[in-house]
Amino acid sequence: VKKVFGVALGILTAIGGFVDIGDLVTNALVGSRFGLSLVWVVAVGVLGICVFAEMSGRVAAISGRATFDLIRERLGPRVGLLALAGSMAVTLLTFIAEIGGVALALELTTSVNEFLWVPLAGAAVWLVLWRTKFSLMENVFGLLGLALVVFAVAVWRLGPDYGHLWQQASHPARPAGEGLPTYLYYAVALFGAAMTPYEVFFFSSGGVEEHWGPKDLGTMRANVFIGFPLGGLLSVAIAAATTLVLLPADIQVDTLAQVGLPVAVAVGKIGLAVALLGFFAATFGAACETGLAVGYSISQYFGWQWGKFVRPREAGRFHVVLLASTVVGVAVLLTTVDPIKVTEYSVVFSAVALPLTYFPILVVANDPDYMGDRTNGRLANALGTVFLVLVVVAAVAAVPLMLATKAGM
Amino acid sequence: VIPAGSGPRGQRPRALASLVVTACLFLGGCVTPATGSDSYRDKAVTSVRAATSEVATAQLTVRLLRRHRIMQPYADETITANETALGSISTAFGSVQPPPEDDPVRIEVAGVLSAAEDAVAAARIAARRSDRPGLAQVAGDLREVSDDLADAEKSLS
Repeated sequence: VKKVFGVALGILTAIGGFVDIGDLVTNALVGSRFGLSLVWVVAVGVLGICVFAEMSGRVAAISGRATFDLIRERLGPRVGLLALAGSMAVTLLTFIAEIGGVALALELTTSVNEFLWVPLAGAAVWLVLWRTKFSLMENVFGLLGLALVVFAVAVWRLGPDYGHLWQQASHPARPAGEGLPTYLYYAVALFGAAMTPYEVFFFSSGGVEEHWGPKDLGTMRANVFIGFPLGGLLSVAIAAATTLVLLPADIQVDTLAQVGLPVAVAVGKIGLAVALLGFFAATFGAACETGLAVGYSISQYFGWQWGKFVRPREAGRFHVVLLASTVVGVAVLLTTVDPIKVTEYSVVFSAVALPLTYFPILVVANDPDYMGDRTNGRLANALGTVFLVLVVVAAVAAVPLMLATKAGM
Repeated sequence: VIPAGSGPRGQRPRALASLVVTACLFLGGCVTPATGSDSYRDKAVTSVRAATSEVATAQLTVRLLRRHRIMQPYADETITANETALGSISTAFGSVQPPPEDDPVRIEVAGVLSAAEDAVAAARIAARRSDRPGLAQVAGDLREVSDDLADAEKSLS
């Protein structure tokens, strides 16, 4: 019973923890402009993150070491540094967007200006990173993130023509008035949002934090192959809700407040309150994950003691990185930069950094010195290679598309 | 004998220069002033579409507020964000130098953007005061502005 409970809890937290500010904003924005014609990208992205999360989780469970720990050792300090620099730049940008998302969720709840909330949100995130146990943090925010299921309830309450929605999703067509470059730009953004690099760093380091071993491979795979796709369905529900309410009203999402409006239309105040809880949990949980991902990766690359499984004083440099990242994040947000714009850029630059993250994982997962007889099988390698080609295409196309479309305008 | 400047070293500055020129052209595209009537009209259409989205959001929010389906702070923040965005749209459009033949376009679009700002500001005031008769009045004003924006977009297309 304990094992079943553990697996169920892992799946639920994987679902609730899947959506972050990038998924929220990008899916809502795309739904309000393109309907469900880009849902196929979410499906591809979710499959991709499942493939690489399983690989990085397996590496952690078999070798007992996390991703960056092995990347530097296996690929050398120069390639490791390149991977670190690219991935960390994007993860830091995502961290900033998540703290901004927390402040925006609090602003919508209280009507107190977001910039007053930013330092408090940063301090709260840092306190949780410093004092809270890893499993408590993961479970609480993962479970609270399930509040976003209210978007699926909203879709159901709106009573849509499901055949029409399915038609849109299964026969993707560019809406009239939207250019092909813009359509492709948002396809890359959705792909970047679904395959954000921090997710695999956090997932594999979390495995080490929780002392995964070969016996935990089944639980890990259940989290990945059941939890992540169900989390992806939450993303689709957000896109479907904005497709049904905002698209016909000519509303294009550019604020977090607009994301919640379909829930208010369909479910009313209680639904909106639940959505706000979901916004807060999703962004706060992801802020903790991205903050930790920055600390994990830098510490692992330089060979410092890291993790929340040891006391803060035993991993001093790791905690200094966490504190410094939080201070940088808060400082950037206090320049009055729009967190939603930061989010939009973070998902696109995430696409640029994808090869730097996923290529090294594929290499390490194929190395018998680390993996013994648990190296990638044919299917994992075939899927890994296909997705590597896709992430390279997305990475190459991201910046030219951004410039050509003036960031999707 | 390979002439100086024809080898890889000589090609590098040229390649770099091409890259810089290309980057400047791309980046320049983000902030370029109107270079002709078509460009100006494109900017006008973009501004009107963006304003339509903001006004439609305010309309929906006012409707939800009147039906007690949204919390007052949430509605206030939503409409305030619409007002701020409209201010930015109006300022950005106003700062573009119009070609002489497009003065009527500038007057029409600036007028409708200004009316949109006024209507959304009125919605924000009524929402903060929880002024129900005021909200009913504002709902009508927003509908009118929304129609004007649609007309302006049609006339520009």
